Amino acid sequence: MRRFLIRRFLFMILSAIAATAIVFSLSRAVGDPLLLFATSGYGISDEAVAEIRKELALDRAYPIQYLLWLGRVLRGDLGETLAFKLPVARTITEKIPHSLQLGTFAWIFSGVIGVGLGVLSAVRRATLADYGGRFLALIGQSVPVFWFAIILIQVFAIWLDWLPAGLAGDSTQEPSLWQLEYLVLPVTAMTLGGLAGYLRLTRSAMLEVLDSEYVKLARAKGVSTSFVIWKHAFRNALIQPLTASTLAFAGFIEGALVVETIFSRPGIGLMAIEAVHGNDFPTLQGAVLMFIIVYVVATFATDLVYALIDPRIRFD
Amino acid sequence: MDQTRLPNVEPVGAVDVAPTTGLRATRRPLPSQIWYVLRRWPIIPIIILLIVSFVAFTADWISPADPNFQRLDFNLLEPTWGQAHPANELAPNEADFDMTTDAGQIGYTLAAKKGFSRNDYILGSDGLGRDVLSRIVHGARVSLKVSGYALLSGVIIGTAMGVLGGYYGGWIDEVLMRFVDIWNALPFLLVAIMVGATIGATETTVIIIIAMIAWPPFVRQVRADVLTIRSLDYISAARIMGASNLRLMMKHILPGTFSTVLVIATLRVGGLILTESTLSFLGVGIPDPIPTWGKMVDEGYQYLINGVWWSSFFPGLSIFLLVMSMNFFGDWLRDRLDPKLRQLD
Repeated sequence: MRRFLIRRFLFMILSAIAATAIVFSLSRAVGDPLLLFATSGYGISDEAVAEIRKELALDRAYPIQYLLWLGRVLRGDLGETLAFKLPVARTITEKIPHSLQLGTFAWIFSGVIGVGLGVLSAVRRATLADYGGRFLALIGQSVPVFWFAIILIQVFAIWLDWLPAGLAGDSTQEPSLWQLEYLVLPVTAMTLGGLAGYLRLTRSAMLEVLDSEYVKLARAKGVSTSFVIWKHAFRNALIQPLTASTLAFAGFIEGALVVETIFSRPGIGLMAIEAVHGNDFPTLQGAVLMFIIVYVVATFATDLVYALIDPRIRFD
Repeated sequence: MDQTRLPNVEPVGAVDVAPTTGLRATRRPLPSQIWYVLRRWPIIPIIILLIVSFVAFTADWISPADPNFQRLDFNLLEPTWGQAHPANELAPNEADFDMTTDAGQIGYTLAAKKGFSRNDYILGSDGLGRDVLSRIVHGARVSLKVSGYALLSGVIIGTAMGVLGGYYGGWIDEVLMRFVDIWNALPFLLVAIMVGATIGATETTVIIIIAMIAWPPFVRQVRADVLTIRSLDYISAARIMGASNLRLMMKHILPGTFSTVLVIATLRVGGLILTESTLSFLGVGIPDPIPTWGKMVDEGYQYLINGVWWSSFFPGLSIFLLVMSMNFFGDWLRDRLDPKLRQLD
C-alpha cells in the first residue's frame, strides 16, 4: 500500500506541474496576456507597455516565464492584484473559506440526500418512489445551475421574501461566514445538481449488490430485510459513491463559481469572474492555480479512499 | 467487487418486463397503457428534440421577428401568449421622428415596417425590447451547432486515443491514460474563462473549449472495448491474413466500439450544452450579436427585481428541456444498446 500511495503522490505532483504548464501554455498560446490590461490605443505609451511587460517578465521565453512563475509560486508569491496592488495570495486566503464552506455544505447535503434516495430508489424498485427518485435525478442532471438559482431567488427571495437573495451576511463590508440563512439558497441550488450523480450511482450499485449471490443467500437463510439492506448491500454499494465523492468535492468547489456569481458571495469563483471583467491577469492565474490544486488533491484522495476500502489495492 | 458484477444482472432503467405476461385478453385501462408506452419509448424527449432541431434549422423563416431588433419603448413587455389586446396596437408615433429629415423618415418607415406591435411579443420582450421568442428560436441553432461540432471533435479525438491506447498497449497506453488523468485535473470552467478572456471568445474558440471537455470520457470506455475485441479470434485471423495495424484498427476494431461511442455521445451532449450555456451566462461564451440561451438568462435576471421573470425564465427552460431530452434519450439508448455501460454517471 505504501508503494502504491507513494507512486500516486508523485503522480499528483507531476500532474499539478503538468496541469499548470498546460494552462500556462494555453494562456500564452492563445494571446498576449499583456493585452488584457494594457490595450494599446487607450493613451498608454509604448514605453509604459514595455515597462509592464518587463515587470511581469512577459518579454522572456515561454519556458523561462513558466519556470520563473513556478519558482515564485513555490515561495508563496502569487503576484499582486492589478487594481489594488494587494498580494494575490492574501486575497485568495481571504476568499477561500467562503468557497470551501459553500462547496462543503453542498457536498455533504447532496451526498447524504443523493445516497439516501438512491438506496430508497433501488430497494423500492419500480414503485412510485423509484420513478420519483429517478425523475429527480434526471432533473438534477439537466437543470442549468444558474437558472435554478435564479428561480430560487425569484420564489424565495422576491415572492415569498423568506431568505436573502445574495451576499454573505448583513454587512456589505464584512462578509460573514456564520449567518447561515445566506447559505440556504446557494447550497440548495448546488445540491439539486449534485445529488443526481450520487443517486444514480448509488441506485445502480445497490441494484447490482441486491442481485448478488451473497445477498440472496443472506435472504434465504432468513436474515431480516433491513439487515440485508443496510449491513450487506449498503456497505458494498457505498464504495462507488464514496470513491466518486472526492472528485465530486472538487467539482463542487469549481461549481461554486457560477453560484457565487449569481448570489454575489465573496468566494474564489466570484473573484475569478471579477478578475476577468477587471482584466486582472495575476488574480485569474492565482485562482486557476488554486482550482488545479483542489483537483489534483482530490484525485490523490480518490486513490487514498480506494486504498483504504479496497484490500486488493492495499496489499498490492 | 468482482463477485457483485455478475453478467446476469437485469438492465436497470426504462426497459422493464411487461407486467402482463402473455395474457392478451386482459386489456389494461388507457392511462396505464399510455404510461407503459411512455416508459418503454422515449416519445416525449424525441418530440422535444425534433422540435428543437426543426426550429434550429428553420430559425430564419419561422422566427416571428429579427432576434436583434430593438425597440426601447417596447422593453420588458409581459408575454401576450399570442392573445391580442387592442390597447397594444401601436403604430410608430410620427412625433417621435423628425419627419423633416430623410433620416427621420427612413426611421419612421423602418419602424412602421418592421415595427412589431406589442401584441407580437408572445413570450414578452427583454430589457432592450427584443422579442424573447425570436431570440430563443435563434438560440436553439447556436446551442445545437456548438455542442454538435464540439461533440464531433470529441468523438474523433477520444475514440482515436482509446483505440490507439487499447490496441498498442504498453507505454503508448500508459502515456495516453496519464494524459487523460492530468487533463481531468484541469479546472475547465476557469480555463475556458481564461482563454475566453485572453483572446476574446468567438464561435470557434467556444467550440474548441467545449471540445476540450468532450473527449476524455470516450477514451477509457473505447479502450476497454478495444482490449476485449483485440483478443478475439477474428482479429488474430485477420492479422494472419496479413492485415496491417492500421487496417486492423480501422476496419476490424473501430466498428466494434460503435455502440459504446454512440451511447457515450448521447449521454455527453447534454453536459456540453449545459457547459456552453454556462459560459455564455458568465459572459465568456459566444459574443454578441448572436443570441444564445445562456446569455439571455444572464441579461434577463437583472430585471428580476422589477418583477420581470419571463426574459430569464424561458431561455433557461429551453436549455433545461433540451438537455433533459438528450439525457433521457441517452439513458434509453444505453439500456437498449449496452447495459454494461450503465455504471457511467
